[in-house]
Amino acid sequence: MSIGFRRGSQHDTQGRAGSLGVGAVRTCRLKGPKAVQTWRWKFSLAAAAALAAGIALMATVRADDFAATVADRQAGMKAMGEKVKVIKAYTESGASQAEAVEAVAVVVATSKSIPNWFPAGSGLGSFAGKTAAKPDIWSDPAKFKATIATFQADAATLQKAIAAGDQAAATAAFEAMGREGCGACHGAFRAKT
Amino acid sequence: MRYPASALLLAVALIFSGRAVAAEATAAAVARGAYLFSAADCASCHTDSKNGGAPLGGGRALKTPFGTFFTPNISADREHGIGGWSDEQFIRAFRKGVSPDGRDYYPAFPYTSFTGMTDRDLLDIKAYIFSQPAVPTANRPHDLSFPYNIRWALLPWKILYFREGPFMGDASRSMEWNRGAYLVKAVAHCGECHSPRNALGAIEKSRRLAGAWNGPDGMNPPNITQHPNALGKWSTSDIESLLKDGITPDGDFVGSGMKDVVANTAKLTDADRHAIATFLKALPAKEPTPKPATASR
Repeated sequence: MSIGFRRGSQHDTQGRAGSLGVGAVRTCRLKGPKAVQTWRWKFSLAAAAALAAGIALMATVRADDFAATVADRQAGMKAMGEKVKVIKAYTESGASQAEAVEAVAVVVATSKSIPNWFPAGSGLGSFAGKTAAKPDIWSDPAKFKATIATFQADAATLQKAIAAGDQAAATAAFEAMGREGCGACHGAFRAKT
Repeated sequence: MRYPASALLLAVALIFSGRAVAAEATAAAVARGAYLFSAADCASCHTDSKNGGAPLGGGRALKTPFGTFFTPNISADREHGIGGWSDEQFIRAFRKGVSPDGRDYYPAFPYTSFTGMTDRDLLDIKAYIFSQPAVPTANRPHDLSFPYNIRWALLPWKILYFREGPFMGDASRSMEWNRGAYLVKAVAHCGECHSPRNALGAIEKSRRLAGAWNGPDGMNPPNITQHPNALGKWSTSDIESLLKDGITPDGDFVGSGMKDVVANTAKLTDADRHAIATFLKALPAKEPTPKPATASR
């Protein structure tokens, strides 16, 4: 209401500058309804602004969330890459089985997390240059899910082979996982090599 | 009368054994051709696998800065494929980039590399293709933008940019290096994707294998020279692992177009993968192709 009053006082000042009596009367008469109208108008404007700001804030928060999502999944993939190297070394030499057991556990765990790493809106459509996640992830979710399911199954097979100390089986499972899991997904859903 | 009878028998035996030898030769050619067909990565372009197309049936869309190419049917179908081609026509297509009816091919068909292949390798590929099922899929015309849709312009293009000729080895290098050079430069035509092209679609020689922006289907094939940020820090066995399993030294697995290539290089012998790696490791380092302002990413 303070806004309305201030307005009123401005009218008063103007009134005094002109014809005191008429101006005063007119100000008095107009003060009530016009102040309310102005207040309503101001209020709806403020509400709309707040709403817009809220939406913008939410969008920013979501974008921040997605930026974090992108950063997290890239870190997760990189970490898995390190473990993959350990497994590859095992398939080639047969040495350090214990390390391979530890490494494949991470790969198996990661394979289970991956479905949560790609919320809609976190692809290169919104984050061009920051992520290589192709829109196909969300336009063909069935294929995406199926590829991840294959990856999960292959990772589990690999885990069993490493646990059993079967180097030949581990090599075969590792190659299958690379081809049908990692490679298939990167081939269909990642925009760079 | 005994002699003519045995002579006849001998003649018949000779004819049959001749046929058997011919059949054996064909089988060997088909097997060699199948191998080279993988090495040359033919199926990646000439099979529309994304839309469930039949092998060799063509129809795959190849989006380029010049427009969209639709790869032709290269199956042995006489009407839509290459079933009616003679050996000479087949060799001419690869060596000179000219179709049986005398039209010049767009260099989207990498005859610019295939020109270095030997007659025997080409004819073995033909033998393999002709041993495969014919696919009755009609070809789809290319959808190219002006001025690239002017086909006769390919003649001056060829005069400017195309050098016909067999692959020339280097006697001062090892057998491995020479085999690798033949595979990389001619058969596997690595440079066709991993090199930048000028506005007329010709490879920029100084940046051959130094990577490309705006490659086919918006891909950005990387620098594969010995630059420290390219393959400089990779060992030969790192390169061999990539060609066999698609795995990079940092535990990543390649995707994009290279995934299809790896599906084929995985079928090569260890010796050939080693030869490719040997050749690539001997390449001079080149700065990566700078990203143009118009690059897709």
